[in-house]
Amino acid sequence: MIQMIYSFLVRLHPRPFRDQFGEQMLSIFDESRGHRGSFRLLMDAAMSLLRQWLLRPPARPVFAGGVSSLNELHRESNRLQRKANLVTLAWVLSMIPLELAVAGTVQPTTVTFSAQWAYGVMPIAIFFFLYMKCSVSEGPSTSILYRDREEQTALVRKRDTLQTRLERMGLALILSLIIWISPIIFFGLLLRSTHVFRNWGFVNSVVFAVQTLVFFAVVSRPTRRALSALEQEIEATRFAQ
Amino acid sequence: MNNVTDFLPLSPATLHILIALASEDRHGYGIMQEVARQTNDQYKLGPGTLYDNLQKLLEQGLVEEANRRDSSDPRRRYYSLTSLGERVVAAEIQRLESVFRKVKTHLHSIKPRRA
Repeated sequence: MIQMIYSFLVRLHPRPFRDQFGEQMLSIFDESRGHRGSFRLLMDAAMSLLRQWLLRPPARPVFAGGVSSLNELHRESNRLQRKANLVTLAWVLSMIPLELAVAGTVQPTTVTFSAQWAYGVMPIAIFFFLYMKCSVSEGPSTSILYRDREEQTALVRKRDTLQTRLERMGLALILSLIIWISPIIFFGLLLRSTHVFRNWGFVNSVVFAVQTLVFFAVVSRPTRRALSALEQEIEATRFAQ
Repeated sequence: MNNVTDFLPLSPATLHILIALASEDRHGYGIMQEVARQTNDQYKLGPGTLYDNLQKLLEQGLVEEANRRDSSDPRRRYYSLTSLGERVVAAEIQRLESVFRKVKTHLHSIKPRRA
């Protein structure tokens, strides 16, 4: 049973890592299970899984050189950018039904219509505001570095826009956490209402955890892949000139 | 990153793996055992942590896969230190030594307080 869980955890790793080290991890598990403790090995695999998906950069496509490769790279980079944009937008849109449902079903002790809407609508407004404000205008570094190279300037701007969006979505998550946590702190801690802790606090935590998990597991990865492709494209264009 | 100092400072796990590979080529389980032996069982690497660090080291060119294969378990792969890896370990040890020297000098210069 433990072996099955372990091999399942190994299988959940990103494909390049799994292909390279998966068998070796299973071999070590078979060998050291007795004297290392199965629970410890499972925890180690789970931590490795989190590190691989959240912290390690995705594998970069290899640029072979030449005009056809540059065109291929450009097409691939555009495809990845479109995918990243769509996934991020879908994630922001998916918050509307989720937060309206929370605002409609769970109420703080005040049970006021305005409080429900404030907690439900404010995070959505923040996400949309930050999403729309991610476009990076020409910065001083861009104009100095690539004064006569419009193509590279455009690529750098695209890269900066994606990077900014990734950072601002993380900021939006923190802001929404503050908004959601404030009624829990106010009513729960100051007014000592156990009702708030039980209902409002629990549901808020679940919603926040789901949004954060989806952000890191689904949204941030395609954006980082697109960023990586854009970096390569900038590099390749520099060589081509 | 071709400059040795670009890789410094190394994380504890990375340093232990590189030191374990400094004496001979080892497979993953061998590295784990060597790290445990070097630290008197005080630092135990799990397979996930080991391969996560090995992946990074392979990408950076500090470690490479050796041609050797284990007949008892074909799943095992051997790893060896590259010349860049050797230089990085040497530089890290030198860096740590200079840190320890400074700390020792500082500790000696502190006079014990009167009760």
